[in-house]
Amino acid sequence: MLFSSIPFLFYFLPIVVVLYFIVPRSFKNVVLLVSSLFFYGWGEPRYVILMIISILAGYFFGLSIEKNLNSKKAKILVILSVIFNLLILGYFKYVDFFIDSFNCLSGLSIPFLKVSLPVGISFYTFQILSYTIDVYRGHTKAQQNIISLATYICMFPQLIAGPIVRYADIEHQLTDRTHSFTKAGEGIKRFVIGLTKKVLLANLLGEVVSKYAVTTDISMLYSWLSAFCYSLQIYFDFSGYSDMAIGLGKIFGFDFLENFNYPFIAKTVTEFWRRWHMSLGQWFRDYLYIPLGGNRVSKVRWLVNIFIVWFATGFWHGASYNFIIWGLFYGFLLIIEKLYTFRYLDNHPFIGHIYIILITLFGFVLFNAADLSSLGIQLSNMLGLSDIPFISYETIYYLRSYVVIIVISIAASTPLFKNIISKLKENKVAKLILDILEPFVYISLFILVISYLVDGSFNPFLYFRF
Amino acid sequence: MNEKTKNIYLVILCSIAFFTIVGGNLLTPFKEYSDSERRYLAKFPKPEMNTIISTSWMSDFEKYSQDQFFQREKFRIIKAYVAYNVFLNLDNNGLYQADGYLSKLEYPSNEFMWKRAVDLFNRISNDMFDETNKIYYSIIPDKNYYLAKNNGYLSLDYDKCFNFIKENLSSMQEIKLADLLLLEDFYFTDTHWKQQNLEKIIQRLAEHMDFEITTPFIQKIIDIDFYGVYVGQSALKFPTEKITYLTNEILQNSVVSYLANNGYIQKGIYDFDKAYGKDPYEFFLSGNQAIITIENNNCNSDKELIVFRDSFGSSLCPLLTEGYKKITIVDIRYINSAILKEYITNNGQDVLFIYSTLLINNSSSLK
Repeated sequence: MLFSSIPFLFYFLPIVVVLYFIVPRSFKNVVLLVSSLFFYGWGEPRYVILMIISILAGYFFGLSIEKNLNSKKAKILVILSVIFNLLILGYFKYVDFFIDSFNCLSGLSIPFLKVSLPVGISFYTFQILSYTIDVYRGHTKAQQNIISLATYICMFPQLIAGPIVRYADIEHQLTDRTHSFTKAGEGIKRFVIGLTKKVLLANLLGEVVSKYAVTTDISMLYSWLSAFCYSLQIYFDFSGYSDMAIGLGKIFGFDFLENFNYPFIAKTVTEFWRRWHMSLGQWFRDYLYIPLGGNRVSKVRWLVNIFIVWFATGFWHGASYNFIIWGLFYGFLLIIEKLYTFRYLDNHPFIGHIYIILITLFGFVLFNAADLSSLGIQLSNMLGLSDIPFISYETIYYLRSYVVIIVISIAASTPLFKNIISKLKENKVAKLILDILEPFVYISLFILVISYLVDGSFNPFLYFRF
Repeated sequence: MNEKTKNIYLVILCSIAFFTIVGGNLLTPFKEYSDSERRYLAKFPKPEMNTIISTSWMSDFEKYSQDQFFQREKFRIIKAYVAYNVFLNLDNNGLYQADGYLSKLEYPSNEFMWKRAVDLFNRISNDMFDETNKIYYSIIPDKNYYLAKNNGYLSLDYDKCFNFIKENLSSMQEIKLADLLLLEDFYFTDTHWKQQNLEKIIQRLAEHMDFEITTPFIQKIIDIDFYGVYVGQSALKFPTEKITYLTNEILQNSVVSYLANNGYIQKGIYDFDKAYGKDPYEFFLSGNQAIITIENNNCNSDKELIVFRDSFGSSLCPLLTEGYKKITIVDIRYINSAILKEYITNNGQDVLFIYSTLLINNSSSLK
């Protein structure tokens, strides 16, 4: 079930909210758990069982690790837990990729298993891993109550597309969280902002990308326009979903980690990745990069560590070579920055911004490529290496038709609106007016979103596939 | 306003708005048909284990929840208004306004569909007819031909389309119509052309096909406010139009038969019940019909005509009545061309394939 769908917004959500707030405190997690399983089952009825198995395994591994803490058995158990979760992830997400790669190398033709990808498996598997590893490290206690642990793993706001919430961060909130008008108000605002980003920006930008994908009137400018729109689309799609998750979390009394912080205003790739999908970056830092030795090793080993982390980051995004290349591309850029260019880019913001925009555009072309050949075609189109015109009639049409959306999207990808509102709120009268108008702005945005949902059919969600 | 008060105020107002829509949505009565969009709305899907496991029930439920949404028409109006006036989109769901006309983008060119159409026409021609027949074809450029490019909208590559058809229907004689028509010949808000403007088309066909239309037509207006098909789709307000039709003594005395389940039934050329129905354009030859025959017993010649046509032909074909003793009008969207021989015998009739570019570019419905 998509957050940006009518069944979610007008059937599922109101029922869950009402039930959640009328049941006694001790039953709130049960409401969240049952509704989350229903939410998951709506899109993947077959895979609810798999999720329950993962939850049970995480629960028993957590308890066993804690019971044997400070003994070799704990290490064995945590290794088993990691292997178990990675095997599940490997089978359901990567098995056909491995078979394909093996077939290519060996010349054999082992048939594909055609395993369909359980939605959100990459996210919830990483949450379970973080839980068992943190228990092993002594960073957190094992959860005795299986309802609480299951609620953490499959809580519907962040189940499908994150943020990847670490157990330690919400351990106390699972049993003792507060609900208030302030939190609910913040949650509603955040949810509506996320929904608006998704439906009014990401979906509309996605229309340009999908038109480009089937065009018969290609041009160099069109290739750039599509790449530009795709970069913005994926940002608003994913950050919008994260906003909705954080907003829903707040309504239910949780404080999830932030996942995005205006990544396109970064000046360096290092900074970009501190602002983009922050929960994933932090997960890889804490559970892969630092255990590998981080930067406290020899230079060569350090560089190898960076490549391993970025290989894993790319591969986490999908069982396809373009994702691996995308990850390694960023690993390579980070190394170049760390060794040579970081200080220069950091001290020259204008050049840094241009650099990051270009890198991001090309990065997402790589990310979005269906295969290496289509990647080559779009890159050569963008770089003027193909025999295509600079501009075409269709390019002009869609540029004209979407220029307002693109301009709004560019502005919304920076802190511009936030800064303007903060500045206005420094004036007492303006602040009062804004406070009075605020609910009406959010209601209007919500109504506009409904209008687009009721009338439109283009409502993909890009991060579902991860 | 302090933070707490502000948030209480916000939560209360937003909750009222949200639960009003939720409540309205639950209480909205089921609606079977959307008059504005001229389509049946999705029904509540019957839950079955196999449809739930395959998630098709969920997809159907989503369609149902979209179609049966509280105040759906008003939300569609908001969307259309914002798309055109705030986001300045040039089209909304493909619909655009230019020069006072409402039209729908017909883009991109689909050569696969062109080929499908001409292959089918050739197959019909080869299977059903021989050298005793004179076979003609005419392509009717849709409204976008006269509207889109001049106003910066996307449209078919019409020249390429016409050339493609000419090259691939080389055994048939082409009768060009594109140069005769003007934008004014189309309804402001509908796909179709106006019957009262078709006399020039009839004369062009008569010149090429060697028949005569000499009896003048009388113009009559139907007393309805006509909204074209695009008005409902666009969710915007447009002025109404009038449907004018042409008639004369020959048309009134002709015998019109429509193929039904149990043979032919006789009705008039013009269907006044349909004029007051969901799609008033169905007034012409009762809309979607597989086979219709028009017999003109007062005709001086024994010539007969078979017309393969789409909905544009509904308003055109009656005007050919004077030129032929019998006209058989076939719509292969509603009857499979493979079984046409069961209904039509080759007597050396003239044959005319007349189709709009809209159908040529979306020929999957031709059978």
